[in-house]
Amino acid sequence: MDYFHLGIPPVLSSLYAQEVLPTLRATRVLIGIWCLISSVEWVRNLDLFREDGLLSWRILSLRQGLIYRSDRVRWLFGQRSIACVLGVRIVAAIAVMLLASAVLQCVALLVIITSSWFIEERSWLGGDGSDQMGQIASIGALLMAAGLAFNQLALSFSGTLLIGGQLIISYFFAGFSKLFSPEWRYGRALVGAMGTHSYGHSHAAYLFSRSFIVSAGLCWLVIIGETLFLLAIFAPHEVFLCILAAFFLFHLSHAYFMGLNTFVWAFAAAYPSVIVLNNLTILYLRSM
Amino acid sequence: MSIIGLIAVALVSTWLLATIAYQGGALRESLGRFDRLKLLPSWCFFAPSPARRDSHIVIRDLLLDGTVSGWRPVSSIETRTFQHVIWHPAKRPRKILRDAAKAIKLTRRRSISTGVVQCSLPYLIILHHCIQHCRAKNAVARQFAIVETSGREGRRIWITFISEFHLF
Repeated sequence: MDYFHLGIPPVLSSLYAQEVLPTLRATRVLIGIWCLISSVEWVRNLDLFREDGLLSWRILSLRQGLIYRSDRVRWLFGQRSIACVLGVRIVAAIAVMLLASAVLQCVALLVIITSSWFIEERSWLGGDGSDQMGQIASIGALLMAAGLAFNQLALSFSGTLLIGGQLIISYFFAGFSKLFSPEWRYGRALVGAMGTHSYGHSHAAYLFSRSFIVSAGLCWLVIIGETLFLLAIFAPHEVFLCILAAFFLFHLSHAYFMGLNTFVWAFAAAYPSVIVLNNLTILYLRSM
Repeated sequence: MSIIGLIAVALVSTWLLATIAYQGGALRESLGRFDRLKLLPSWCFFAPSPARRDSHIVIRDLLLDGTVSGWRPVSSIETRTFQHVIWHPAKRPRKILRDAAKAIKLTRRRSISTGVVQCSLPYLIILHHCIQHCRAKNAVARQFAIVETSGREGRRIWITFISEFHLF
Protein backbone atom coordinates (compact mmCIF):
# COMPACT_ATOMS: atom_id res chain seq x y z
CA MET A 1 0.00 0.00 0.00
CA ASP A 2 3.02 2.27 0.01
CA TYR A 3 2.20 3.72 -3.39
CA PHE A 4 3.72 7.08 -2.67
CA HIS A 5 6.85 5.57 -1.11
CA LEU A 6 6.15 7.27 2.20
CA GLY A 7 7.89 4.57 4.15
CA ILE A 8 4.70 2.76 5.20
CA PRO A 9 5.90 -0.61 6.53
CA PRO A 10 4.68 -3.70 4.61
CA VAL A 11 3.42 -5.04 7.93
CA LEU A 12 0.60 -2.49 7.75
CA SER A 13 -0.56 -3.85 4.40
CA SER A 14 -0.52 -7.39 5.68
CA LEU A 15 -2.35 -6.40 8.87
CA TYR A 16 -5.03 -4.60 6.85
CA ALA A 17 -5.34 -7.56 4.48
CA GLN A 18 -6.08 -9.77 7.50
CA GLU A 19 -8.57 -7.36 9.04
CA VAL A 20 -10.59 -6.26 6.01
CA LEU A 21 -12.80 -9.37 5.86
CA PRO A 22 -13.94 -9.42 9.54
CA THR A 23 -14.30 -5.62 9.45
CA LEU A 24 -16.57 -5.78 6.42
CA ARG A 25 -18.58 -8.62 7.97
CA ALA A 26 -19.28 -6.65 11.17
CA THR A 27 -20.01 -3.47 9.19
CA ARG A 28 -22.44 -5.30 6.91
CA VAL A 29 -24.41 -6.78 9.80
CA LEU A 30 -24.73 -3.39 11.52
CA ILE A 31 -25.68 -1.62 8.28
CA GLY A 32 -28.27 -4.35 7.66
CA ILE A 33 -29.86 -3.80 11.09
CA TRP A 34 -29.88 -0.01 10.63
CA CYS A 35 -31.37 -0.31 7.14
CA LEU A 36 -33.98 -2.84 8.21
CA ILE A 37 -35.24 -0.74 11.14
CA SER A 38 -35.17 2.47 9.10
CA SER A 39 -37.02 0.87 6.16
CA VAL A 40 -39.71 -0.80 8.28
CA GLU A 41 -40.26 2.51 10.09
CA TRP A 42 -40.75 4.21 6.70
CA VAL A 43 -43.22 1.44 5.72
CA ARG A 44 -45.13 2.22 8.92
CA ASN A 45 -45.21 5.87 7.77
CA LEU A 46 -46.17 5.12 4.17
CA ASP A 47 -49.32 7.24 4.53
CA LEU A 48 -47.09 10.30 4.58
CA PHE A 49 -46.50 9.81 0.84
CA ARG A 50 -50.19 9.71 -0.09
CA GLU A 51 -51.66 12.53 -2.19
CA ASP A 52 -53.23 13.92 0.99
CA GLY A 53 -50.21 13.07 3.18
CA LEU A 54 -47.63 15.29 4.79
CA LEU A 55 -45.11 14.46 2.04
CA SER A 56 -47.57 14.62 -0.84
CA TRP A 57 -45.81 14.79 -4.21
CA ARG A 58 -48.34 17.43 -5.29
CA ILE A 59 -46.57 19.82 -2.93
CA LEU A 60 -43.02 18.48 -2.93
CA SER A 61 -42.86 18.48 -6.73
CA LEU A 62 -43.01 22.28 -6.54
CA ARG A 63 -39.36 22.30 -5.52
CA GLN A 64 -37.02 24.35 -7.65
CA GLY A 65 -35.77 22.28 -10.57
CA LEU A 66 -38.56 19.72 -10.29
CA ILE A 67 -41.54 21.83 -11.35
CA TYR A 68 -41.25 21.23 -15.10
CA ARG A 69 -40.32 17.58 -14.76
CA SER A 70 -42.95 16.74 -12.20
CA ASP A 71 -45.52 15.24 -14.60
CA ARG A 72 -43.00 12.93 -16.23
CA VAL A 73 -41.72 11.55 -12.93
CA ARG A 74 -44.97 11.63 -10.93
CA TRP A 75 -45.40 7.84 -11.13
CA LEU A 76 -41.93 7.36 -9.68
CA PHE A 77 -42.63 9.38 -6.55
CA GLY A 78 -46.11 8.05 -5.72
CA GLN A 79 -46.96 5.96 -2.67
CA ARG A 80 -46.89 2.68 -4.62
CA SER A 81 -43.41 3.26 -6.04
CA ILE A 82 -42.11 4.17 -2.61
CA ALA A 83 -43.63 0.98 -1.18
CA CYS A 84 -41.76 -0.99 -3.89
CA VAL A 85 -38.50 0.83 -3.18
CA LEU A 86 -38.87 0.14 0.54
CA GLY A 87 -39.65 -3.52 -0.18
CA VAL A 88 -36.47 -3.85 -2.27
CA ARG A 89 -34.53 -1.98 0.45
CA ILE A 90 -35.72 -4.46 3.09
CA VAL A 91 -34.63 -7.39 0.91
CA ALA A 92 -31.24 -5.70 0.36
CA ALA A 93 -30.85 -5.12 4.13
CA ILE A 94 -31.41 -8.81 4.83
CA ALA A 95 -29.20 -9.84 1.90
CA VAL A 96 -26.31 -7.64 2.98
CA MET A 97 -26.27 -9.38 6.36
CA LEU A 98 -26.47 -12.93 4.97
CA LEU A 99 -24.70 -13.05 1.60
CA ALA A 100 -21.17 -14.42 1.48
CA SER A 101 -20.25 -13.44 -2.07
CA ALA A 102 -18.48 -10.05 -2.29
CA VAL A 103 -20.06 -9.31 -5.68
CA LEU A 104 -23.59 -9.91 -4.34
CA GLN A 105 -22.76 -7.83 -1.27
CA CYS A 106 -21.81 -5.00 -3.65
CA VAL A 107 -25.18 -5.30 -5.39
CA ALA A 108 -27.09 -5.27 -2.07
CA LEU A 109 -25.09 -2.28 -0.80
CA LEU A 110 -25.66 -0.44 -4.08
CA VAL A 111 -29.42 -0.98 -3.66
CA ILE A 112 -29.26 0.36 -0.07
CA ILE A 113 -27.26 3.45 -1.17
CA THR A 114 -29.53 4.23 -4.12
CA SER A 115 -32.75 3.70 -2.17
CA SER A 116 -31.49 5.81 0.77
CA TRP A 117 -30.66 8.64 -1.62
CA PHE A 118 -34.05 8.26 -3.34
CA ILE A 119 -35.97 8.40 -0.04
CA GLU A 120 -33.99 11.42 1.13
CA GLU A 121 -34.58 13.19 -2.17
CA ARG A 122 -38.28 12.30 -2.13
CA SER A 123 -39.00 13.19 1.49
CA TRP A 124 -36.86 16.39 1.53
CA LEU A 125 -37.61 16.98 5.22
CA GLY A 126 -37.27 14.77 8.28
CA GLY A 127 -33.82 13.30 7.64
CA ASP A 128 -31.42 12.94 10.54
CA GLY A 129 -27.79 12.13 11.40
CA SER A 130 -28.41 8.40 11.39
CA ASP A 131 -29.45 8.59 7.73
CA GLN A 132 -26.22 10.44 6.94
CA MET A 133 -23.98 8.01 8.85
CA GLY A 134 -25.87 4.97 7.53
CA GLN A 135 -25.40 6.19 3.95
CA ILE A 136 -21.68 6.87 4.48
CA ALA A 137 -21.16 3.47 6.14
CA SER A 138 -22.94 1.82 3.19
CA ILE A 139 -20.72 3.62 0.64
CA GLY A 140 -17.63 2.70 2.65
CA ALA A 141 -18.75 -0.93 2.90
CA LEU A 142 -19.37 -0.94 -0.87
CA LEU A 143 -15.77 0.19 -1.46
CA MET A 144 -14.51 -2.51 0.93
CA ALA A 145 -16.60 -5.22 -0.73
CA ALA A 146 -15.57 -4.04 -4.21
CA GLY A 147 -11.93 -4.14 -3.12
CA LEU A 148 -12.38 -7.75 -2.02
CA ALA A 149 -14.31 -8.69 -5.15
CA PHE A 150 -11.65 -7.26 -7.48
CA ASN A 151 -8.68 -8.04 -5.25
CA GLN A 152 -7.78 -4.36 -4.78
CA LEU A 153 -6.58 -3.83 -1.24
CA ALA A 154 -6.25 -0.05 -1.62
CA LEU A 155 -9.88 0.18 -2.77
CA SER A 156 -10.94 -1.66 0.37
CA PHE A 157 -8.76 0.64 2.45
CA SER A 158 -10.46 3.71 0.96
CA GLY A 159 -13.77 2.37 2.35
CA THR A 160 -12.30 1.90 5.81
CA LEU A 161 -10.74 5.37 5.65
CA LEU A 162 -14.05 6.90 4.61
CA ILE A 163 -16.11 5.34 7.40
CA GLY A 164 -13.51 5.76 10.15
CA GLY A 165 -12.61 9.27 9.02
CA GLN A 166 -16.25 10.41 8.95
CA LEU A 167 -16.85 8.97 12.42
CA ILE A 168 -13.88 10.89 13.85
CA ILE A 169 -14.98 14.10 12.09
CA SER A 170 -18.58 13.62 13.26
CA TYR A 171 -17.69 13.23 16.94
CA PHE A 172 -15.14 16.04 16.82
CA PHE A 173 -17.49 18.61 15.25
CA ALA A 174 -20.42 17.50 17.42
CA GLY A 175 -18.29 18.32 20.49
CA PHE A 176 -16.47 21.33 19.06
CA SER A 177 -19.70 23.11 18.03
CA LYS A 178 -21.12 22.59 21.52
CA LEU A 179 -18.08 24.35 22.93
CA PHE A 180 -19.26 27.60 21.33
CA SER A 181 -22.77 27.31 22.75
CA PRO A 182 -23.50 29.01 26.10
CA GLU A 183 -26.39 26.55 26.55
CA TRP A 184 -23.93 23.67 26.61
CA ARG A 185 -21.13 25.45 28.47
CA TYR A 186 -23.41 26.55 31.32
CA GLY A 187 -25.08 23.17 31.58
CA ARG A 188 -28.54 24.25 30.44
CA ALA A 189 -28.67 22.23 27.20
CA LEU A 190 -29.62 18.89 28.74
CA VAL A 191 -32.21 20.43 31.07
CA GLY A 192 -33.84 22.07 28.04
CA ALA A 193 -33.66 19.05 25.73
CA MET A 194 -34.88 16.57 28.35
CA GLY A 195 -37.73 18.95 29.18
CA THR A 196 -39.16 18.59 25.67
CA HIS A 197 -41.57 15.81 24.78
CA SER A 198 -39.96 15.34 21.34
CA TYR A 199 -36.42 14.62 22.52
CA GLY A 200 -36.78 14.33 26.26
CA HIS A 201 -37.60 11.95 29.04
CA SER A 202 -39.58 12.67 32.18
CA HIS A 203 -37.13 11.03 34.65
CA ALA A 204 -34.07 12.66 33.06
CA ALA A 205 -35.85 16.03 32.99
CA TYR A 206 -36.67 15.67 36.69
CA LEU A 207 -33.08 14.75 37.58
CA PHE A 208 -31.40 17.46 35.51
CA SER A 209 -33.75 20.22 36.59
CA ARG A 210 -33.01 19.47 40.26
CA SER A 211 -29.27 19.00 40.13
CA PHE A 212 -27.16 21.61 38.35
CA ILE A 213 -24.01 19.60 39.08
CA VAL A 214 -25.33 16.52 37.26
CA SER A 215 -26.62 18.58 34.34
CA ALA A 216 -23.48 20.73 33.92
CA GLY A 217 -21.21 17.72 34.53
CA LEU A 218 -22.92 15.70 31.81
CA CYS A 219 -22.87 18.63 29.37
CA TRP A 220 -19.10 18.97 29.83
CA LEU A 221 -18.62 15.20 29.65
CA VAL A 222 -20.34 15.22 26.24
CA ILE A 223 -18.33 18.24 25.03
CA ILE A 224 -14.96 16.87 26.18
CA GLY A 225 -15.69 13.27 25.19
CA GLU A 226 -16.78 14.14 21.66
CA THR A 227 -14.07 16.73 21.01
CA LEU A 228 -11.24 14.53 22.25
CA PHE A 229 -12.38 11.40 20.41
CA LEU A 230 -9.96 12.52 17.71
CA LEU A 231 -7.04 11.74 20.03
CA ALA A 232 -8.43 8.34 21.01
CA ILE A 233 -7.25 6.98 17.66
CA PHE A 234 -3.70 7.07 19.12
CA ALA A 235 -4.73 5.19 22.28
CA PRO A 236 -3.65 1.59 22.94
CA HIS A 237 -6.02 -0.94 21.41
CA GLU A 238 -7.67 -2.07 24.70
CA VAL A 239 -8.18 1.53 25.85
CA PHE A 240 -9.67 2.41 22.46
CA LEU A 241 -12.15 -0.48 22.70
CA CYS A 242 -13.26 0.79 26.13
CA ILE A 243 -13.73 4.30 24.69
CA LEU A 244 -15.82 2.89 21.83
CA ALA A 245 -17.90 0.87 24.31
CA ALA A 246 -18.56 4.11 26.22
CA PHE A 247 -19.67 5.83 23.00
CA PHE A 248 -21.93 2.89 22.16
CA LEU A 249 -23.58 3.28 25.59
CA PHE A 250 -23.83 7.02 24.87
CA HIS A 251 -25.85 6.24 21.71
CA LEU A 252 -27.95 3.67 23.58
CA SER A 253 -28.80 6.33 26.17
CA HIS A 254 -29.86 8.61 23.27
CA ALA A 255 -32.14 5.85 22.03
CA TYR A 256 -33.70 5.38 25.47
CA PHE A 257 -33.97 9.01 26.59
CA MET A 258 -34.34 10.82 23.25
CA GLY A 259 -35.94 8.18 21.02
CA LEU A 260 -33.04 8.29 18.52
CA ASN A 261 -33.04 4.53 17.95
CA THR A 262 -31.47 4.34 14.48
CA PHE A 263 -28.38 6.32 15.54
CA VAL A 264 -27.21 3.32 17.60
CA TRP A 265 -26.87 1.04 14.57
CA ALA A 266 -25.73 3.65 12.03
CA PHE A 267 -22.89 4.85 14.25
CA ALA A 268 -22.01 1.36 15.47
CA ALA A 269 -21.59 0.40 11.79
CA ALA A 270 -18.62 2.79 11.68
CA TYR A 271 -16.90 1.25 14.72
CA PRO A 272 -15.24 -1.75 12.99
CA SER A 273 -13.51 0.62 10.54
CA VAL A 274 -12.30 2.99 13.22
CA ILE A 275 -10.95 0.01 15.19
CA VAL A 276 -8.89 -0.93 12.12
CA LEU A 277 -7.64 2.66 11.79
CA ASN A 278 -6.61 2.55 15.46
CA ASN A 279 -4.75 -0.73 14.92
CA LEU A 280 -2.94 0.65 11.86
CA THR A 281 -2.05 3.90 13.66
CA ILE A 282 -0.62 2.06 16.68
CA LEU A 283 1.35 -0.31 14.47
CA TYR A 284 2.67 2.56 12.37
CA LEU A 285 3.75 4.52 15.46
CA ARG A 286 5.51 1.46 16.85
CA SER A 287 7.33 0.87 13.59
CA MET A 288 8.69 4.41 13.42
CA MET B 1 0.18 -0.80 -7.98
CA SER B 2 -3.53 -0.26 -8.43
CA ILE B 3 -4.60 2.96 -10.10
CA ILE B 4 -8.24 2.36 -9.06
CA GLY B 5 -7.19 2.08 -5.42
CA LEU B 6 -5.12 5.25 -5.66
CA ILE B 7 -8.01 7.19 -7.18
CA ALA B 8 -10.40 5.84 -4.53
CA VAL B 9 -8.09 6.87 -1.66
CA ALA B 10 -7.61 10.32 -3.24
CA LEU B 11 -11.37 10.79 -3.70
CA VAL B 12 -12.14 9.66 -0.16
CA SER B 13 -9.48 12.02 1.23
CA THR B 14 -11.02 14.90 -0.75
CA TRP B 15 -14.47 13.91 0.56
CA LEU B 16 -13.19 13.97 4.15
CA LEU B 17 -11.58 17.39 3.65
CA ALA B 18 -14.78 18.73 2.05
CA THR B 19 -16.76 17.37 5.03
CA ILE B 20 -14.52 19.32 7.41
CA ALA B 21 -14.96 22.49 5.34
CA TYR B 22 -18.73 21.92 5.21
CA GLN B 23 -19.17 21.98 8.99
CA GLY B 24 -19.11 25.77 9.12
CA GLY B 25 -17.55 28.92 7.80
CA ALA B 26 -17.47 30.57 4.42
CA LEU B 27 -17.21 27.41 2.32
CA ARG B 28 -20.39 25.76 3.60
CA GLU B 29 -22.78 27.51 1.22
CA SER B 30 -20.64 27.05 -1.89
CA LEU B 31 -19.96 23.39 -1.13
CA GLY B 32 -23.66 22.79 -0.46
CA ARG B 33 -24.51 24.19 -3.90
CA PHE B 34 -22.36 21.55 -5.62
CA ASP B 35 -23.47 18.67 -3.40
CA ARG B 36 -26.28 17.36 -5.61
CA LEU B 37 -25.99 13.83 -4.21
CA LYS B 38 -26.15 15.02 -0.58
CA LEU B 39 -22.78 13.46 0.20
CA LEU B 40 -21.69 16.13 2.66
CA PRO B 41 -23.07 15.48 6.14
CA SER B 42 -23.68 18.06 8.82
CA TRP B 43 -22.33 16.74 12.11
CA CYS B 44 -23.24 19.52 14.55
CA PHE B 45 -25.83 17.49 16.50
CA PHE B 46 -27.94 19.56 18.89
CA ALA B 47 -25.41 22.40 18.66
CA PRO B 48 -24.96 25.28 18.94
CA SER B 49 -28.68 25.50 19.83
CA PRO B 50 -30.02 22.33 21.44
CA ALA B 51 -33.72 21.51 21.05
CA ARG B 52 -35.39 23.22 24.00
CA ARG B 53 -38.94 23.51 22.69
CA ASP B 54 -41.60 21.23 21.23
CA SER B 55 -43.30 22.38 18.04
CA HIS B 56 -47.05 21.93 17.65
CA ILE B 57 -49.37 22.80 14.78
CA VAL B 58 -52.84 24.05 15.69
CA ILE B 59 -55.71 24.98 13.35
CA ARG B 60 -58.98 26.88 13.48
CA ASP B 61 -61.77 27.43 10.95
CA LEU B 62 -63.62 30.49 9.75
CA LEU B 63 -67.30 29.62 9.69
CA LEU B 64 -69.99 30.74 7.26
CA ASP B 65 -71.55 33.10 9.79
CA GLY B 66 -68.24 34.98 10.23
CA THR B 67 -67.30 33.45 13.57
CA VAL B 68 -64.19 31.35 14.12
CA SER B 69 -63.90 27.95 15.79
CA GLY B 70 -61.52 27.24 18.67
CA TRP B 71 -57.90 26.24 18.06
CA ARG B 72 -57.29 22.48 17.91
CA PRO B 73 -54.07 20.53 17.50
CA VAL B 74 -53.25 18.52 14.38
CA SER B 75 -50.01 17.06 15.67
CA SER B 76 -49.32 15.07 18.79
CA ILE B 77 -46.19 13.88 20.57
CA GLU B 78 -46.24 10.42 22.07
CA THR B 79 -44.92 9.64 25.55
CA ARG B 80 -41.44 8.10 25.59
CA THR B 81 -41.51 4.34 26.15
CA PHE B 82 -38.84 1.65 26.43
CA GLN B 83 -39.91 0.34 23.02
CA HIS B 84 -38.41 3.47 21.41
CA VAL B 85 -34.92 2.05 21.93
CA ILE B 86 -35.67 -0.35 19.04
CA TRP B 87 -38.76 0.89 17.27
CA HIS B 88 -39.80 4.52 16.93
CA PRO B 89 -41.57 5.27 13.64
CA ALA B 90 -43.41 8.29 15.07
CA LYS B 91 -40.19 10.28 15.10
CA ARG B 92 -40.36 10.78 11.30
CA PRO B 93 -43.62 12.75 10.96
CA ARG B 94 -42.71 14.69 14.10
CA LYS B 95 -39.31 15.61 12.64
CA ILE B 96 -40.87 16.59 9.29
CA LEU B 97 -43.28 18.99 10.99
CA ARG B 98 -40.49 20.30 13.20
CA ASP B 99 -38.18 20.92 10.20
CA ALA B 100 -40.99 22.62 8.28
CA ALA B 101 -41.93 24.83 11.25
CA LYS B 102 -38.27 25.78 11.72
CA ALA B 103 -37.92 26.63 8.02
CA ILE B 104 -41.03 28.85 8.14
CA LYS B 105 -39.62 30.76 11.12
CA LEU B 106 -36.29 31.22 9.33
CA THR B 107 -37.93 32.33 6.08
CA ARG B 108 -40.09 34.85 7.92
CA ARG B 109 -37.06 36.25 9.74
CA ARG B 110 -35.12 36.66 6.50
CA SER B 111 -37.89 37.98 4.23
CA ILE B 112 -39.45 41.41 4.14
CA SER B 113 -42.95 40.40 3.03
CA THR B 114 -45.30 37.69 4.28
CA GLY B 115 -45.90 36.71 0.64
CA VAL B 116 -42.45 35.13 0.54
CA VAL B 117 -43.34 32.89 3.48
CA GLN B 118 -46.66 31.89 1.92
CA CYS B 119 -44.93 30.82 -1.29
CA SER B 120 -42.32 28.77 0.54
CA LEU B 121 -42.47 25.01 0.34
CA PRO B 122 -42.49 24.36 4.13
CA TYR B 123 -45.52 26.68 4.42
CA LEU B 124 -47.32 24.80 1.64
CA ILE B 125 -46.47 21.45 3.24
CA ILE B 126 -47.98 22.44 6.58
CA LEU B 127 -50.97 24.14 4.94
CA HIS B 128 -51.67 21.06 2.79
CA HIS B 129 -51.41 18.88 5.90
CA CYS B 130 -53.80 21.13 7.86
CA ILE B 131 -56.34 21.41 5.05
CA GLN B 132 -56.71 17.59 5.00
CA HIS B 133 -58.06 17.48 8.55
CA CYS B 134 -61.81 17.11 8.95
CA ARG B 135 -63.92 20.25 8.97
CA ALA B 136 -67.41 21.33 9.90
CA LYS B 137 -69.98 21.71 7.10
CA ASN B 138 -70.18 25.45 7.58
CA ALA B 139 -66.40 26.02 7.60
CA VAL B 140 -65.18 28.18 4.72
CA ALA B 141 -61.52 28.82 5.46
CA ARG B 142 -58.74 27.51 7.66
CA GLN B 143 -55.85 29.09 9.50
CA PHE B 144 -52.90 27.38 11.17
CA ALA B 145 -50.45 28.43 13.83
CA ILE B 146 -47.11 27.12 15.01
CA VAL B 147 -47.00 26.91 18.77
CA GLU B 148 -43.90 26.06 20.77
CA THR B 149 -43.82 24.80 24.31
CA SER B 150 -41.01 24.11 26.72
CA GLY B 151 -40.72 22.25 30.00
CA ARG B 152 -42.85 19.58 31.60
CA GLU B 153 -43.86 21.21 34.85
CA GLY B 154 -44.97 24.81 34.50
CA ARG B 155 -45.07 24.61 30.71
CA ARG B 156 -44.31 27.83 28.80
CA ILE B 157 -45.99 28.56 25.47
CA TRP B 158 -44.92 30.72 22.50
CA ILE B 159 -47.02 31.39 19.42
CA THR B 160 -44.32 31.72 16.81
CA PHE B 161 -46.33 31.94 13.60
CA ILE B 162 -49.94 32.48 12.52
CA SER B 163 -50.96 31.97 8.91
CA GLU B 164 -53.61 33.81 6.90
CA PHE B 165 -57.03 32.17 6.47
CA HIS B 166 -57.06 29.93 3.39
CA LEU B 167 -60.30 29.05 1.61
CA PHE B 168 -61.17 25.37 1.34
